[in-house]
Amino acid sequence: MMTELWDQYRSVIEFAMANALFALASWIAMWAGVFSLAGASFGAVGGFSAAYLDQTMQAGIIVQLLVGAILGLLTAAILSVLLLKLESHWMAMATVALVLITRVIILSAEKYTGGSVGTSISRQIDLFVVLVLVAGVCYALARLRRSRYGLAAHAVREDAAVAAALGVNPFQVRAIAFIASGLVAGIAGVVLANLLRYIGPDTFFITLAFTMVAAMVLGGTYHWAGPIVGALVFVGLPEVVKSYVQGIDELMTGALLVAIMVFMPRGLIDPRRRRRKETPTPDDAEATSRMEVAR
Amino acid sequence: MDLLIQQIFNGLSLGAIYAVFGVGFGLMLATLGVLNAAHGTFATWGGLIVLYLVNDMGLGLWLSILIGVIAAGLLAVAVDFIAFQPIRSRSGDLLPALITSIGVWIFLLAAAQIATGAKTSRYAPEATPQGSFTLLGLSIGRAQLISIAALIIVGFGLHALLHRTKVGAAMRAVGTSPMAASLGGVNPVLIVAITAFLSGAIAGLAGITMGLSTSTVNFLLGEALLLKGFAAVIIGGFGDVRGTILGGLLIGVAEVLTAQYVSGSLRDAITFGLLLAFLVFRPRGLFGSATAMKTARA
Repeated sequence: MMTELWDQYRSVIEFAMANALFALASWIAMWAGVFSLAGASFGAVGGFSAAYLDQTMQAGIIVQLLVGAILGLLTAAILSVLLLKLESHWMAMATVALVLITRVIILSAEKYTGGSVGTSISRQIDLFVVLVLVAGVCYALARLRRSRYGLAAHAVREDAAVAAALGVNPFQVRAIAFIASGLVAGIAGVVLANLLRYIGPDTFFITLAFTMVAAMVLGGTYHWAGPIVGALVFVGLPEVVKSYVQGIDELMTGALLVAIMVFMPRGLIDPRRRRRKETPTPDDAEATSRMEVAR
Repeated sequence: MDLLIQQIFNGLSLGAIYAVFGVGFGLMLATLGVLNAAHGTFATWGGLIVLYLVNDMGLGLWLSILIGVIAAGLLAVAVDFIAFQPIRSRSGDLLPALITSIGVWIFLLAAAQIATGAKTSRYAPEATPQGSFTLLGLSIGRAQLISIAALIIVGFGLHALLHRTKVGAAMRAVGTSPMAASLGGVNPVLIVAITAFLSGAIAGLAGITMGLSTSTVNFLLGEALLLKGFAAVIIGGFGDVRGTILGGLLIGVAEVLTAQYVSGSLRDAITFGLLLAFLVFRPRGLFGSATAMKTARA
């Protein structure tokens, strides 16, 4: 009984963690104020190269992950030259266009991707490896949070002009964030391909792109734990609902997403909310000084 | 040569549907600052309602279209009230409204899937305009005429509304600066509701003409329209009705000609290739002004 339950929920947790990796990739870009849906495209690069390596040379998971990470990084580096000069809203829309084009490329590169039929891949990953990957990304982000780069990224997100005046190069900070997000999304693509065991042109399409940003925003965009919580809620809750009532899980997901955004606009994990109870924050200090001025 | 002219006409009538949808989508983006992922589902629901009225209720086509268009408009008003209104008061950027629109999209798409049982339905042949006639050597489908008529009505109607009437001026004002508009005596809540209704109704009309032109409707009808309409808005220039129409027609012609002379599988490649090229090299599109996106409340 317990093992049955565990088997059922293990795959839910695995998929939630794969989505968490994608959401973390979006979050890394968002850290520096880059709103990007391109993670789905980088995921496709990772996923399809993993499938190709698996089919042609039976490459192990370590090789697949390394290749996925490197190719994701390189793709992001090339695209960052084209995309990052755009004003933020155009940039977001350009990444939507990129996801649309990725599907066309997958369909045309039939020799490597299987075209509209898709391609299969043998599963070489288990929950432990996925968890190690998520933990690794989180560890890196937690270390970076108070680093020079982390502070610079936060500054660029809040106000690029002020950050530039303080000697931060906004373009450089954004480019690093975008490329790092490509790396993580490439890994996430390898993980998702291994979990699904079959990938096609629709695997890394708009639905995945929307899911990753929705999970990121649902969890909260101001702390790296946000995307993980968001992905767990976004992927896990419909599964829980499904085991009680059939057929309405997607309706629930949609309604839940709207409700959380309306009532908790900063997401489920909001460091400001917690900090407020403990120590004064810059926001509070600002409020206090404003009160003093008023007095 | 004849084939080329015929295919250009076919492309224009397909592009007319993209253009109509793009006009509605662009209206919501420019005036309300919502990049609405759920806009395609308005078209789907418009198409589904008309199919139901024509096939199952036996209503006349024109009355059904009218009801379908109004229903899609009311759906958009309801969505705006539930999902966008609460966020608008906090200002912010494109992101929160995009996320709630994704929620609405998931919801309405799933609801359409449940309502249709994920099956494709066909219009009753005797109830809808079928067949074609020949004029000046061109074979013109009756459904194609409806698509083109819809574009002419929407294009001229909306352009006249925006530039010749007080309501239109108020809509443009709200699009530029809601604060200044309300100081100028505009009731922003009413104007927002009117804009949402119009943009939903136009999307519904696009969905209906799409359904008529293929004689079939399924729950994914609006998804293709959403992607093509998005491309039309960007290529044409953000917040410009003429540009969007031109963009939509361009996409339609490019798609049909690519399918005819190059390869059917590259249809989408040309559209999205154009889209990315415009975004990267000419983000203001064919007609849009460089400052439109900055002044718009996003």
